[in-house]
Amino acid sequence: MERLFLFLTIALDAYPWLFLQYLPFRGQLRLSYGKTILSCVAALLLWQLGFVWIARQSWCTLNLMLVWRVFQLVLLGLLTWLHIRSPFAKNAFVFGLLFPCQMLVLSLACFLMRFLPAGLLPPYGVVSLLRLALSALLLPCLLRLWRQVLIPVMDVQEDGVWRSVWPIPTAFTLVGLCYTGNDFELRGVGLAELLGRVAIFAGVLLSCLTLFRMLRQAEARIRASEEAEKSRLLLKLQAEQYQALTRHIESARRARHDLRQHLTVISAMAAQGDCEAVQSYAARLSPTEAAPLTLCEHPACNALLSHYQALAQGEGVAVEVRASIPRELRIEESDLAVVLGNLLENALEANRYVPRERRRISVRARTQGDRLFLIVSNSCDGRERSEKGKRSRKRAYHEPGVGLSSVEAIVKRYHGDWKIEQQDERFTVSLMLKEN
Amino acid sequence: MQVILCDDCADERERLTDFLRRFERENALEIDIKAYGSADALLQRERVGCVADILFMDIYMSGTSCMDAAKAMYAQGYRGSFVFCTTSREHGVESYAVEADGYLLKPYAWEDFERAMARCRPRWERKLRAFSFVSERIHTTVLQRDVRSIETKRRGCLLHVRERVLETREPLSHFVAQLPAESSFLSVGQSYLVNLTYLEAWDDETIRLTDGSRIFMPVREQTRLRRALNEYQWLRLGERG
Repeated sequence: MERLFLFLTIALDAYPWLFLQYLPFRGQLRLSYGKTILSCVAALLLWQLGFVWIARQSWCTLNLMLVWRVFQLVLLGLLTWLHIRSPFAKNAFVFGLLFPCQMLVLSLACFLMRFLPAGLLPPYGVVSLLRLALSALLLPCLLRLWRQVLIPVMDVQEDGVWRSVWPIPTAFTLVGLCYTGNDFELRGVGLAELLGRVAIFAGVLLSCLTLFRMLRQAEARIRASEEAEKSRLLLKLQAEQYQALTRHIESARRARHDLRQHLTVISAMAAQGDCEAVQSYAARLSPTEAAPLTLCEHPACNALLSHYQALAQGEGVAVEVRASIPRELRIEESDLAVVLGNLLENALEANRYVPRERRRISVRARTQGDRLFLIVSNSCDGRERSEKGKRSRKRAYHEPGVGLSSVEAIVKRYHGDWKIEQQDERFTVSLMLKEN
Repeated sequence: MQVILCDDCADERERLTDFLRRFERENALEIDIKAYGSADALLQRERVGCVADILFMDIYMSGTSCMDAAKAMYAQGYRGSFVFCTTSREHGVESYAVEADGYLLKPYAWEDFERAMARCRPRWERKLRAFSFVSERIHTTVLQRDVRSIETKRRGCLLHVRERVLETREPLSHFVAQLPAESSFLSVGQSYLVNLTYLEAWDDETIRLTDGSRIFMPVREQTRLRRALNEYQWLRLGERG
């Protein structure tokens, strides 16, 4: 019976917390859910069997058992590093946040056991049951904290930020580890020791909450400035479009005037019966191809598409636009500008790394009911990422791009959907926005 | 159905392949496409014993001319359809020599392509995918493209086909097994199979078809189904034409 409780108490070091460790990264697992759970259980079971084996040896001491329990932390760190495709700093941050929680539960259980009648159950049994009860109380609160605060913050893609913040909870973890006794479950924990644990827990929690708030504010500031920039660009584009329209009207007026002159000349030649002269004169008047002014009915999208079409053609990129976007759309113009502007800018950027003869951008858009479907595809050199990794070449390969994360934020706001694909040397972003 | 494309322009081959894939999906056909970049390459591989049903050929290509290649293949007994793709009409009369079925003037749209395929109808009509089942003790075959939806009932299924409803005792899995890997049919829960060609609109909970019928999405499958519907729209939007 005692061995069973020993087994349970060491299992409680890992199991309830492991779920919270993986929760923020559930979309970034290298293996399927089943395989991840199976490998975690297998690794921890091996560790536990090792623990039980050590406990049965004559040379086993409490210090050795403590070392083996600390080794479990290394094992858990290794497992998460192997399983999760996220940067080390993010993993370490969540890990550092969880350890003080786990230690608080352990200390509180060891503190409370002193008030229970002795001999009721073996010491490990009392602690295990108390830990189970306390974990059941604490886990829903942590789960709520994770869902409402931690998981949204995990979307912040700035690796640099995570690199600088992960040591904060880790430092608390190390301090907690330094004061971890090897006989908590046997002798219980005093009030002073418990208060120390509570202080560590409160410290890590408060510092992380402050950090989360700062991160969210910083991200909101970046987004706001980016949207303001896009709105400025949109206004500029509309002004450009207006000027182009004015130029077009002026040139049409001139062409009408010239046409009258040409008709006079041709009629005079025809009256003289000089067919050859008429033919050669008409040949000189062959029309020149002009780019269409209107690519779609929606004014903001039209301005953006025209602007980027002109830019792309200037860089030798073949542009194909087939957009049927109505004039009235219940999607904010600035949001559409952010989406379309970012995608076209990325497409243009990617084409710069492709030989001139293969440069292509294709834009397709159509509404279906209250949904806008959009596809932007471009040639690329095959090195861009093919997943929602929000990477950009504008910075460097290893740094995340703000552009696609802005697109993602807008897609979420409009209850939409999107996907990024890379097939050979073609990069395609497909998205859907639902009108408000 | 086998189709051969012969065009020296990679973009044109890609465009035609896109059209053929769309045609394949919309008509529940299975099209095997072979593409060649020159008439010489085509003749080297296909001159003798070519069993393709339709041959799309660009008229202006470097090397052996398209017309010479078509005549050579015709002389060797090729009796599939010829469809010429060109930028000018001047070979119209010459194309009669090989009994061409179509003439696509570049740049052509999806509607032009559909018209050309309609002229080759005898070549592909018998190859349309169909559902085979027993209905009212009679062995019945219905073209997959004509089926709007299939729903399970207490014993068997109801097939909604154009203007009529057919009843069968076959289970839904019988029809699922007859679908190709890539098809426009979507499984909705365990009770429905919906042909997305007839999709009119959808919201968070229901799918509406062109005949006005509504199909409810099971709560557990709503995310998957909404994604599948978006994927279908992206596929349609990405198609040329």
